[in-house]
Amino acid sequence: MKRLAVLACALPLLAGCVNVHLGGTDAVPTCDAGGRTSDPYSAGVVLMAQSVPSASLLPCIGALPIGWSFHRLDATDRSARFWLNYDREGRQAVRVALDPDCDVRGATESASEQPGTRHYERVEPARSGYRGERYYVYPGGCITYHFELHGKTGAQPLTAVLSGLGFVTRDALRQMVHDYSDGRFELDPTAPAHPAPSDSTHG
Amino acid sequence: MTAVPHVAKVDTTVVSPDTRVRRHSKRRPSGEPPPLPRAINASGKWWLAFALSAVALWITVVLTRRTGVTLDAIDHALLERIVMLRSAWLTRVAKVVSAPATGPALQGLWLANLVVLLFWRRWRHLIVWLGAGLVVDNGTAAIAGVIHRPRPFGVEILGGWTGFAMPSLPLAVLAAFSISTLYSTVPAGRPRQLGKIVVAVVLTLVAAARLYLAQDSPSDALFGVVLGVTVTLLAFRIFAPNDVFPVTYHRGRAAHLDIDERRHAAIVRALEDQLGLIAIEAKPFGLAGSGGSTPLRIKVKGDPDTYVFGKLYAATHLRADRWYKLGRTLLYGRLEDEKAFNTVRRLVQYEDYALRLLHSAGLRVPEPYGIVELTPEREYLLVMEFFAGATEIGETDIDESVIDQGLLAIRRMWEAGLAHRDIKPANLLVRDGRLLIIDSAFAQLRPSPWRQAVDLANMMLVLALRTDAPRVYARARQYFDDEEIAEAFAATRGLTMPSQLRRMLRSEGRDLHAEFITLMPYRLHPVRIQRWSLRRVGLSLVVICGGALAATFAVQLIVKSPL
Repeated sequence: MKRLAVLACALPLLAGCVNVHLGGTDAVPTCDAGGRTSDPYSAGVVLMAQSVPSASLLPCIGALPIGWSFHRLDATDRSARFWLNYDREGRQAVRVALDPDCDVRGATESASEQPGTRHYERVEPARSGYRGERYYVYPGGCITYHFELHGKTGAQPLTAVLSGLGFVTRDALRQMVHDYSDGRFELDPTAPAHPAPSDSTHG
Repeated sequence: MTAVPHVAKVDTTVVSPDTRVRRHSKRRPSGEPPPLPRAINASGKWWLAFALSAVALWITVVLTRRTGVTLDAIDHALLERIVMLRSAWLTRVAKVVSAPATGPALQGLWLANLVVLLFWRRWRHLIVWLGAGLVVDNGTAAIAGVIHRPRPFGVEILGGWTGFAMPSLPLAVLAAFSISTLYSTVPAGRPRQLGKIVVAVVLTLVAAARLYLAQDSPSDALFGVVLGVTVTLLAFRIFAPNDVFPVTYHRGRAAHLDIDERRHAAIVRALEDQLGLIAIEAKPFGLAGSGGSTPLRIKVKGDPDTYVFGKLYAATHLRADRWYKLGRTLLYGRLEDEKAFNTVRRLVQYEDYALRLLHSAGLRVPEPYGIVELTPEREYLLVMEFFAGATEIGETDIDESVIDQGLLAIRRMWEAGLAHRDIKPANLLVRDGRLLIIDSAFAQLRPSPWRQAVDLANMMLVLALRTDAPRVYARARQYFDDEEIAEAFAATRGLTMPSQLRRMLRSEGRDLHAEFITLMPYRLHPVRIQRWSLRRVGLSLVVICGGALAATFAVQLIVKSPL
């Protein structure tokens, strides 16, 4: 009876766990190989690559500045997202999304520091802090940074966190998987059944 | 209380010619299983072994690169062969076949189970269902988050997926929900055996379809199924074993246990080993009148063969006792000054002790023969004399002698410092003009004066049911003074009467309570039943908060997809 009572009391707790972790993982999508000695590649980045098989460029995390931390990664067969927390101006202050395409209507195009991509920015009005999006659009995919800072420092912290975010090319990732498997299998199907979309952007 | 003017000599002889064949009881050697051992069965052990092997493999994969590469290579080789079978029509079939492992299908399965379990009030199964489901759901997600295994390499994935691949979350949850459905809604025996085959076929087909669509690698699928089946199977076998919580669809009290072949054999063996009685058969007896235990009439070998009476107690009865007492505390407060029992053993020990006290006090109660242990701390049989040929007092004519015996029994209990606390027609039997009292489950030593007074009033009401109030009152004045009788009726009304007695009074259409009151030379103010205490207030708050929390939790579980 005691065991059952404990189980009954633990149910809401277990349900809470579902909310927190279901679909999310703690696999940090690092720009280099995984954090563990047994990791030959970043499992988080590979999972994102599998989410959007057409994406030739994948977002990743380099060295995050002090105060910033990885929150979680969600990846499905349609898209992938990860979030960063900022200890001063809010949880999930930055969301990085990888999609096959994205809607950049209303965003302003500017020169891209990332070769092969087009760069768009959109700033949304906010009473305090900073709220906006940055898009990197390229053939086969689109990476969106969504910022939501609630502090009084405005967009100031963004410069630091942007330096900690980077990109991995699909080719580099393919090579990592190839090396890991000694050529026994590859990241992508050797003969894809469906070609990647030629134009992946709207607007 | 005043002295009794005249107390007739009571015959304390209990007629119990012991013609039974007795053997020496046997001490169970250390290490030998009890008559009805707890069992996770051979299949449970196999699944546990599979699951432990999977855990060992996962640890190796996390710690060593070589194991991971090898596993990936094997999975890839197998998956490549499966993928070679792809065709347009087979892909359409595979998408349909894999549908049971999707969020809406799993949610539908869960909600259907919820409806069935709520309708049949199978609370234990429902809690185990939920617990196992949540453990599998969270456990699988947590393991996947540690192993970090991507989706299958080098093949095109044709179906939907979420998160890391090992173990397969949809298959683990489908396996868990299927096994839970089987163990909480399908009766044991042939239907469940058939159900196991159906579940095995469904899981195999769904896993095959997911492999075809490359949603999972072979090892992801295998470990998902192993995890889901193992956790759920063990949860049901440990927390809701079929022996104690059978799945049945016939109407009846949930507290009654099935006397199936295994339990019958255990009872026979335990009676012989522990009490030296050679049982020939054990059958449920008088189930309708018993809610707190499973009553049995047991035929024992003798010259001639005779019967003994057994009351089977298990965790389910302990739970019923606990809820009953909690309910009374919430409704009436410090009415009974009673606490629930912690274990089945204590519950049975208490009833055996109370029966022995009543017996040694000279009351005509069944002779206690002792307690038999079937499963340590889980299932016990209380064995006592069987009153063969006795008739319930409500079904027989009674004379003044029986009225006297009833009143004297109460007087005798008062003198011994006891209260029966469940005086009702079903617990008063008559045989050859003798009144016999049964069921000492609620008996109490050193009860409150209020409770003793209630016993007297209930006895008078039962006796008057078959006669009339003036006759019973006249006889009662031989053994109790006016003040004691007035106090008894001031203490007794409504809920202080057993429900069977209340029902019978209603069906007779007589207000016997009022009739007795009019006969008394004076009346006392009714004794207040509602008693407030800090415990009652605290418990009420806990129940309200718990209810609100449970409602929130329930809504979340109903609305949210298991995936």
